Amino acid sequence: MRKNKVRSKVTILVGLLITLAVFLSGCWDRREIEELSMVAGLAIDCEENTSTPYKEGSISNKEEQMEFDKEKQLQIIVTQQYIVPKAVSGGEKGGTSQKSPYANVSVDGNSIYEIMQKFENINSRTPNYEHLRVIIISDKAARYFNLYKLLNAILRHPETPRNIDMLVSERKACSILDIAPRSEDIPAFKLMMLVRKTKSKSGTPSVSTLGDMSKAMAAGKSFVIQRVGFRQDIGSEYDTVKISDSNYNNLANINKTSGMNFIYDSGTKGLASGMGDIIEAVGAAVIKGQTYNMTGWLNRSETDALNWITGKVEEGSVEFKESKSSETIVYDVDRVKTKIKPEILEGKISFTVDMKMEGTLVEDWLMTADAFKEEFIKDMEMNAEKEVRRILEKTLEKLQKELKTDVAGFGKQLSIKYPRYWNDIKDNWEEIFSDVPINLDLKVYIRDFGRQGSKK
Amino acid sequence: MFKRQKQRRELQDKGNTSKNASKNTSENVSKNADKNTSKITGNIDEDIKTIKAALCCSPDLVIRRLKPADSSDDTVVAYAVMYIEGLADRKVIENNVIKPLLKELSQEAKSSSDKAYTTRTSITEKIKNTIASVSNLNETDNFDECINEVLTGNTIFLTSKSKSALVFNTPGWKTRNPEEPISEPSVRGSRDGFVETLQENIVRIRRRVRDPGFAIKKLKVGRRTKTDVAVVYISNIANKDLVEEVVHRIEQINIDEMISAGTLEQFIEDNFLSLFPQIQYTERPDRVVAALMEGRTAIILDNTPFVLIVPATLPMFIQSPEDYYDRWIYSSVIRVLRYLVVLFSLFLPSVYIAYISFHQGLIPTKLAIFIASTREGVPLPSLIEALLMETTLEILREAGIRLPKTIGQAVGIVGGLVIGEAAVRAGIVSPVSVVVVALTAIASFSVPQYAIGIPIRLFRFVLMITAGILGLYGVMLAFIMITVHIVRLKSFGVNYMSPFVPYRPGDWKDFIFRLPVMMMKKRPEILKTEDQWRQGNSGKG
Amino acid sequence: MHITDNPKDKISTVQAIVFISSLTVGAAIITLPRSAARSVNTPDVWASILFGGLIAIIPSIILVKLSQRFPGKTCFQFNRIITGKFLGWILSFLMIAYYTLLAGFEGRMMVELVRVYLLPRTPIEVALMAFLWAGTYLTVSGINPIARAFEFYFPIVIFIFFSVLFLGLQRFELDNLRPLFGQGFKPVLRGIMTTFLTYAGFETMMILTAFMKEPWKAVKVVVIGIGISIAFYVSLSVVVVGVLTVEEIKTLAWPTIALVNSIEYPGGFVENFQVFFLIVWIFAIYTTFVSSHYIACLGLGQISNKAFNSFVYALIPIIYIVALAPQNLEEVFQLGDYIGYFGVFMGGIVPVILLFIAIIRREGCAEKQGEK
Repeated sequence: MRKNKVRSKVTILVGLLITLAVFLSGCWDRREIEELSMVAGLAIDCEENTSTPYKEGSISNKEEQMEFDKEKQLQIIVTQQYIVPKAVSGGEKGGTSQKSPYANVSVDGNSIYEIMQKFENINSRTPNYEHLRVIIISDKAARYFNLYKLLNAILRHPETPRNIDMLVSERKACSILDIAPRSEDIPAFKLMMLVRKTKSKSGTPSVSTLGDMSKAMAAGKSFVIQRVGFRQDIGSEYDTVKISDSNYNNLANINKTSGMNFIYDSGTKGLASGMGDIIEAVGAAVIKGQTYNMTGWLNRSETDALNWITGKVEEGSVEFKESKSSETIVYDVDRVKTKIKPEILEGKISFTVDMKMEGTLVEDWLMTADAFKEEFIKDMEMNAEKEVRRILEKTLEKLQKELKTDVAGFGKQLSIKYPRYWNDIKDNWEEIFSDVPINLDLKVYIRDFGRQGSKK
Repeated sequence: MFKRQKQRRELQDKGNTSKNASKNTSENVSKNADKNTSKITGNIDEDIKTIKAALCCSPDLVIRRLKPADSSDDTVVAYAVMYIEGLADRKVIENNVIKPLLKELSQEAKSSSDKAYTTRTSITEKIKNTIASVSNLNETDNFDECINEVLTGNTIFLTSKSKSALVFNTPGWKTRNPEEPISEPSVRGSRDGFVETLQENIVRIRRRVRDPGFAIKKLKVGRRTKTDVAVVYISNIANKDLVEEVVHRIEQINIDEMISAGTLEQFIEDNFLSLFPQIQYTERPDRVVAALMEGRTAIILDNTPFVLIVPATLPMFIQSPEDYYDRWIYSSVIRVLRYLVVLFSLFLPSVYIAYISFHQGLIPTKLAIFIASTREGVPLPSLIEALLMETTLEILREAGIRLPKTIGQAVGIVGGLVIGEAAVRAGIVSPVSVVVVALTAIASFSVPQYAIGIPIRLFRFVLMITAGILGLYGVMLAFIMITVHIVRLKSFGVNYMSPFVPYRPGDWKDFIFRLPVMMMKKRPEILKTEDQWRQGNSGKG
Repeated sequence: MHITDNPKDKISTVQAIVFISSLTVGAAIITLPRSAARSVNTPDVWASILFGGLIAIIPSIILVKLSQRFPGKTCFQFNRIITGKFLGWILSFLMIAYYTLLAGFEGRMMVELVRVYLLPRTPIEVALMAFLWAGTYLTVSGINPIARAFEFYFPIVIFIFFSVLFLGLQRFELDNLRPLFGQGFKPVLRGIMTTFLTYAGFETMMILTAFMKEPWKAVKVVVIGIGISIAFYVSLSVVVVGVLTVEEIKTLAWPTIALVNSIEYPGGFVENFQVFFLIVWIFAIYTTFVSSHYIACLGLGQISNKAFNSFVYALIPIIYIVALAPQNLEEVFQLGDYIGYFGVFMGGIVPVILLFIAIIRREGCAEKQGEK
């Protein structure tokens, strides 16, 4: 009986082995890692189709968007940044390699996937999107394209991870990819590190990965994307420094706009070539939910205000002038507790933002400041509160009147408290939102002042 | 416990009675078949001739004839002492048998009048009772047994006119001194290992278990080698069915030679086709004693220093007796480490291949770039590379076993470092593969029992190939098939993966963690022992 | 091992619980959030799943009571007794068809997942074949090794599943689950129609009770078994909705994997959680597949009074065809829905009728098994 068992087992084994030969016919998915061309970053720009003229102005509602799409006046240009592993330092075949560790290639087309196909014809290795880290969209593209449609191919692609950082750039997105970073080998990674490091710092929105965008777009909500730009951008509506000449010797000609100090980097050989190579990640681009395109920018303090309202990021510094002496005092926010309370009275919606802010007094230019004294602190708290209130009101006004977009989540809070009402108005929310009164119930506390409290 | 096997056996026995009959006759292969079952005649010259003829080609058979000095009379009793040079203890024979006998014979000669004791019937009695000062004494009356005894190393004492022969138990071969077991060195435990003599091994166990319930069943295995086997257990702990099954399986073995315990193991295993060992073997007495006290059975084979322990489960191979001698937290952590090491040494190369060739997206980006840069220029795909390196490692391993110790170490260093380094520099393999293969090798050395290292090594290759074809999916499926195989295995009625599967929470105290000894009060449930309690109440004294 | 009448092998109570849970927790781990979100349309998905499971307990108790009337006999056998040979034969055949479809469906789901996330270019026939062999190896061994293997995989699945969910909480936002019952209870009720289908698996108790060492504990087994699946699915839906929002889930084909992909931990192990989760869904689908395959073969064996072993290999081509029948992913999901309805019928409606008839005709023994 043992023999029979053995015999049947052996026959099965042999049969199995024969059919296993099928597997030897090919390892269909085998691609060695060195055969890959890893795409680290994408930059999406748009450019005029030379055949049709370019239309000025932004699109404010759905019908115009559809019109525009029909005409397809702008072409998409995608720049891919490939990693050249051989040249990445740290490998065994190390030493200094003269080649740069990355390569940027730009291709144009009418749809993202079509462009990706074109890339495959250019590159000697298969592009691999599994290590894609950043996608930069130029503001022009963000304004004129429906982002949900633009990013559809990327969202569908099984290789692209959901935690790609999304950035909107002021100028051409591909120029952002071209800076030669100092501490990282590859610009895309530098951007990624920059964004992540600054994520919970002042002036940046809390999250903007591809996944978050997808979530917001699926729900038709408005959202913000991190802005990225050059430190010395010329002629932008964003609050930056303008440099007329990038030559180091001409620093005297630099213009100062509101409140920003210029910086120069003494480590560079000169800000000689082109735009300079300092990238900053501060501020946000506002994307409207219904039309999926960009409506405007928020600068540093406005982004801070937004973060305080949503309660997601508890950072930010507020600089104000002391009422009597007009000296600068800086207050740094440590903790923010916000509650948005919607109210509907006789069919009229109103919101109350109940915010409690705690922070530290980090810098004061007042010679007579004495933080050890109670009244001084109270005085500073009042001043800080005034300033914070001013910033908040300015931001809310911008969101409501100028941009007509609700990115702070007011709608969501309304839907939680009054779900039936929300159901009726949700399609017109952004319109209604611009007229809704928002009250601020603000309390600012100074909890700490660091190591030194007074100057004498 | 063995109900089904018993039923099957009964059916078998009924069907096989006719076969058995023919088997017995075919067993008699020696030329002098009819002579061997015959009895001793009493005519000493004839008897000696018979025995000599049976052992025809053994010049080392020593025959010492004794006769009263002065007689040529046939009525006078003559004696013959027979033994095999080297097997029997010459000193014992000379001092305790021949010397007193000679003395007696000379006394006999002096007082020649008294012929009472020269009659045949009482002579063996007299020798048995008054002359031979050998402690272990038997009597036999057929040639077969005589020859067996002589070949075992005992001495045959023939008396003319007596139809029975005396057998003196005089083993005298040299045995090896007990040494530290090479395959299982110990840090804190005892260092005496088993030797090749059956009785000595039993003694080694007896020294540690002084319970009167210590039971031995002696069997012989091998038609020609007639090797002694002892099945050892503690009679009121071990499950009776288990012991019966073990004995039965050994008795079923029908083969000419039984040279080592390894062969025995393959005969009595539940599934000899499987790669996994279902019987544990060890050279350490403390491991055997621990197993016996749990309710297992040990099988000792003469001429092998390895003792088999039955039933064996997979966790047993990953445990070591050292675990019980150290502190419990340390032992638990080390045990967990060992389990991880087993998984590691099984999966590391295949997971590496799967990641590098198929799922590059799952590697952290910086690492991926680094690996890609180091693999530039390497001509072989990672599957071939890994297979090549693993095969080289296996070759080195084999080489290391054959060489004497001093050269073996040098080979290890040369092979590992120099060849690996050179291969990387030449660009044949990538440094990451070398690292992976080296780590795997080190991990595989941490497995405490060599027996389990074998399936791991073989399955590693299978996993590598499936990884090379289907990536992680292949690895997972292969893992599933391996676990299914393990789950199907039984070792003498005990599931191979006990106590993990089926769940027996009572036994988990000693499974992955080793909880403090105070807490392990009961014996393992899986063995269905008769006496459940190890500690505390109702214990044995 | 020849099983002609009564199954000679018995499984313990714990093994039965593990069997039922492993069978019920199958491919739905990956797809449930989407189908539930689509039918409920509010963040109250978890409530649908919870109530769906609780409701599923009712018919399961009924069919356990039915099986307990016929100790040692599986439903293939007592069908004949209750309704006569011909009708019994038809009912048994329907059950076999159900399990075959389920096995094919699970095989296809496995292969689809593999195709998207692991091996995009490998032909699905190959992946399917490999899976079928791995499954057959276990099926052929009989109920005891199957139960043991499930016991082996079960703690691993639980551990990794809940660890991954726990890690997923990193991106959890409670607001995504609110408003609680904002649209009232109607969407939840709507959803129950879909979520109830995912618990299809409890009807296996009609067969499993016969194998149990202690069949009087069968009610406990099925309640705990379904309870475990409820715990799985509810916690899954809570975390998935909390991290991804209902609207997003509706758009994704494989929401659970999107959840796993969004887990990030510093130190660079951003992607690796997908690997751990891979273990979970492979085991989950594998166990469901093997149990359905086994029961289908068992049924065929018991109808025709032959050893179930011979049918194992015979069913493989049929399962293969079923698995490859749907032409695209949508059809696969539809197949899953049909199987769900089928299961509701076989598990919810048929046993009630059978029990009724059995009580009226006084078939089987009504007294409880000797509770020792």
